Amino acid sequence: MKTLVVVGHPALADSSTQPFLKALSQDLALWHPLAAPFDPYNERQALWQADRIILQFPLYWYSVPAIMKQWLDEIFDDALLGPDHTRLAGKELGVVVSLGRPRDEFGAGQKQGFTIDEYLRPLQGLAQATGMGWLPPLVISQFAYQTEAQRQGLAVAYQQYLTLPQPSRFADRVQWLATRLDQLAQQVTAPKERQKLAQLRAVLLAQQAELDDLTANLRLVRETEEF
Amino acid sequence: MNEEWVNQTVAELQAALPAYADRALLAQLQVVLAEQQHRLDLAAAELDGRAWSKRNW
Repeated sequence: MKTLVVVGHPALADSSTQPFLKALSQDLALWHPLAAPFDPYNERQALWQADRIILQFPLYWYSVPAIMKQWLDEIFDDALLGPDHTRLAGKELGVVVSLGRPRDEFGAGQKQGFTIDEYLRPLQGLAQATGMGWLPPLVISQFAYQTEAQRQGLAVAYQQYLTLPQPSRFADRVQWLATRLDQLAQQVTAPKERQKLAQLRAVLLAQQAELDDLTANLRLVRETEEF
Repeated sequence: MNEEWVNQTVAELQAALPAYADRALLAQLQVVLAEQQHRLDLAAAELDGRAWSKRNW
């Protein structure tokens, strides 16, 4: 699967979030920071070749930054979409949005008044109008204040967002981790480290097999009780 | 799962691996293993509870 990350940021050089994400996207996605003026030919080619298109931006006054709105206005035309607007149909559209405010401020009755999903509705409309599947957004709240543990969790969540079928199930994320551990084991040169990675992977998969088994038994018991 | 062994092994590997993404992967592995254990505990408890429900006796 080819993933295109379209980055719309008014001051990319000053961002601490975007370089963090860029390093994580290496080998997983094509990183495409927006800079006007746009070359429509190159923009169209990048969009046509992608299977998953990620719009990545900081939320600016509850919307996309001006550079991304300009890009949407200029590039999303008949030349890109085709006469019946189906040229992007079947692709996936996702959003990675960073917030300067705490996540729990977004919601009915909260300080910001509406949910993130509600603020992102115009982009969801774009996905619907162009026949693209809409992915649940990945929200990054107050990156600058995040703990190291939170950032490590974000790092993995971001890589999974670029590569995993979405929305992902717990078992999918476990399998993704197992695959990455396997790849890492092949990269390391020290046999001891390779062995430890293999052992950790084995524990992960064994525990998941146990969980799958128990869950299947439980499902059977629940079904039996219903009769 | 031997949690102590997992934590120690992860810490040793994190010290040996220079790439941030790899260290993050190992940190997330600990989180997922703990989540798996939690789900196992919940599922086992529910199975136990249903097996001992009055309707089955």
